[in-house]
Amino acid sequence: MEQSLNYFLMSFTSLKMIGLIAAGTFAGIYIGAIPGLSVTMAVSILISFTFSWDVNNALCLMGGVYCGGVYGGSRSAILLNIPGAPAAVATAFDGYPLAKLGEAGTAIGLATTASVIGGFMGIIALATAAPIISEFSLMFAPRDYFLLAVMGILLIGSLSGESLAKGIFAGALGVFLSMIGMDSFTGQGRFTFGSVGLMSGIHFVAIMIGLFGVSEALVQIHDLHIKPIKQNVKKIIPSWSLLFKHLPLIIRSALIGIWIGALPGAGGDIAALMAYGHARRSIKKPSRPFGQGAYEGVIAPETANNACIGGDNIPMLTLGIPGDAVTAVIIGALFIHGLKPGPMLMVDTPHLFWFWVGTLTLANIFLLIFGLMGVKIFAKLVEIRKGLLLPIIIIISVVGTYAINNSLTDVYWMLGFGIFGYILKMYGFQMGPVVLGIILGPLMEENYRRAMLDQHNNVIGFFFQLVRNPLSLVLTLGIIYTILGQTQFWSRMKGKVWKSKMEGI
Amino acid sequence: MEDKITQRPGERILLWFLFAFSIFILIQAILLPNLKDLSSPGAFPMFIISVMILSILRILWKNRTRHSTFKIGEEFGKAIPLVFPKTVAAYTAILILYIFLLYPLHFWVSSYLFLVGSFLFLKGAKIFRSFFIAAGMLVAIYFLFQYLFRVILW
Repeated sequence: MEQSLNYFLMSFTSLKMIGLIAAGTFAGIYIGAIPGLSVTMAVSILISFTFSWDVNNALCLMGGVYCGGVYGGSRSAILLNIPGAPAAVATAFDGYPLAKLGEAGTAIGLATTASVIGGFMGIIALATAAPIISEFSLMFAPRDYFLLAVMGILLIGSLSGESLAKGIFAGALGVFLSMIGMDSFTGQGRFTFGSVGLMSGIHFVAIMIGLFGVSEALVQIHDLHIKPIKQNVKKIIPSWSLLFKHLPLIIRSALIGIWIGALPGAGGDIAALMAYGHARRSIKKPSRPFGQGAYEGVIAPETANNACIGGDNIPMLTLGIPGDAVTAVIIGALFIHGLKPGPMLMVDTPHLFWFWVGTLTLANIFLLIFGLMGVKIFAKLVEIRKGLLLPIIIIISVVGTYAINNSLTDVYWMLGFGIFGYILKMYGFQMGPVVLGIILGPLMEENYRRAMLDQHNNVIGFFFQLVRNPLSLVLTLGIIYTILGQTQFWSRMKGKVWKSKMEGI
Repeated sequence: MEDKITQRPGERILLWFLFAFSIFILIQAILLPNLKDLSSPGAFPMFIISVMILSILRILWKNRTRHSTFKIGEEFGKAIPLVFPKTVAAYTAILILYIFLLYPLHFWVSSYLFLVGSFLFLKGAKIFRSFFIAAGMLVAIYFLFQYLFRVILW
């Protein structure tokens, strides 16, 4: 216990680490707020730069960017009606009307305090639930890991795009990309087409930067001429009475955020939308009608999306299954630094877990400080022209990709995946499942093959185990439900059951 | 859910391309040596690629009625302005040119030209400001990445 506390406080006692977390949070707020820049993009680029760093320092910077970025999206949602991040979409519903009423400062103040409270609740949930789940996950067999990885990809595929089939394709494509190169079991080359360069595979950071950096920059060119509306920002710090009045909503929204975050595949955007929906249903007398500047419409999504950070980290650290695209990228960063998120993380490197919890806590403290400061300068900065911003994103993407191996080949791959990702995006394919597939692919394949070897390559034995073991059965049913739940057959069945129930009444 | 989405010209071409690609890699997976049981190196890729093929077929099946109004030639003609309108097409060309000039011209020269060209093309700044901002950006990149992050730029 004492040791855990020491690890937790480690980042609080080093000036360098405090500085890195502060810088990361500060940068994250701006990255999250500037439309066109995303946290996923920033963290994936950061991985390449922090390659050679000590793992603690790298985590400090990434933790700061992560927390700041999730919150930062709310600022442009309130000031410009352009959510800086998908998690801030719901914030714009009432945040922007509030700004139009001259209450941008109050909206930002509420968003900041709600985010910080939500963030702390998420961290408490992470610190309490993760050790328990981690112990439980030690009972997982290889087939359960295989099923968990399949479920993670299916969930993110079903929730993030316009169709489940496109989500599944994107996830499977990611898994395929992870298989290029040398087979980890036999050392045999796969899909290398005789190229020696491909034997080590395509570096996943190059693919990620291409998919999130370059492709996003190309998508942004479509809205090059949209001009933001300027806002006046006055009072920022919200009154205590306003905060206390909404404390029950904050707590409920934080719980929604934690729960959604803990589900593999669901992230801050879904949590925020669900909390907003909950606020609409549960608040009978909002400060103003929802959609016209209700304080509750800002508080609920902002609490939920930051609480989701703690929730997202639970499956990431204990099972090695990322909750969303950002945590998928962070898992990649941990792998690069020689750590293996999963049940053994708490056994082999418990210090890392508590250090990460401490880092997120400190980042939340900085979030409160930076969140309530410098809003006027900020309002000017987020109005930066896309014509200036997009070339800079590309240059940073190039530098980041080159930094992986000091190789231009990675830059060529980044370009290729950037253009390919752009085309896929234009036709409704999401990039989140692709990245999740790349990260989870090796875990999925390794556990599939282990499970098969356990059953002496007997497919009937494999399927029998899926039904016989209670945990495997729950996961299998979860996968079947995720697939069937998206089909017309399921909707029809649900309709029939509903109809017969109504007739019964 | 899918029915509410209007047809996008070129989607059929992309889907058939992805289908052909998936078939090609499936053949490559089948041709992998030592395919003797379900845990051999080619087994899992075959399973995953089959999932890719099935999901593409599912999308094609779902989209079958929406695509009937277009002929392939017509669809291609309409897809280009949608996916690559003039600005995007030209900027993609600039981007490709930049990436391929990185080797012969080295990072600093090619990036400076790319930044100035991009600022002007995307109307981010006027001529003199473009030269000035691009130089400032490269100085910032030098200090931030080469000095702080220790990235060796060439």
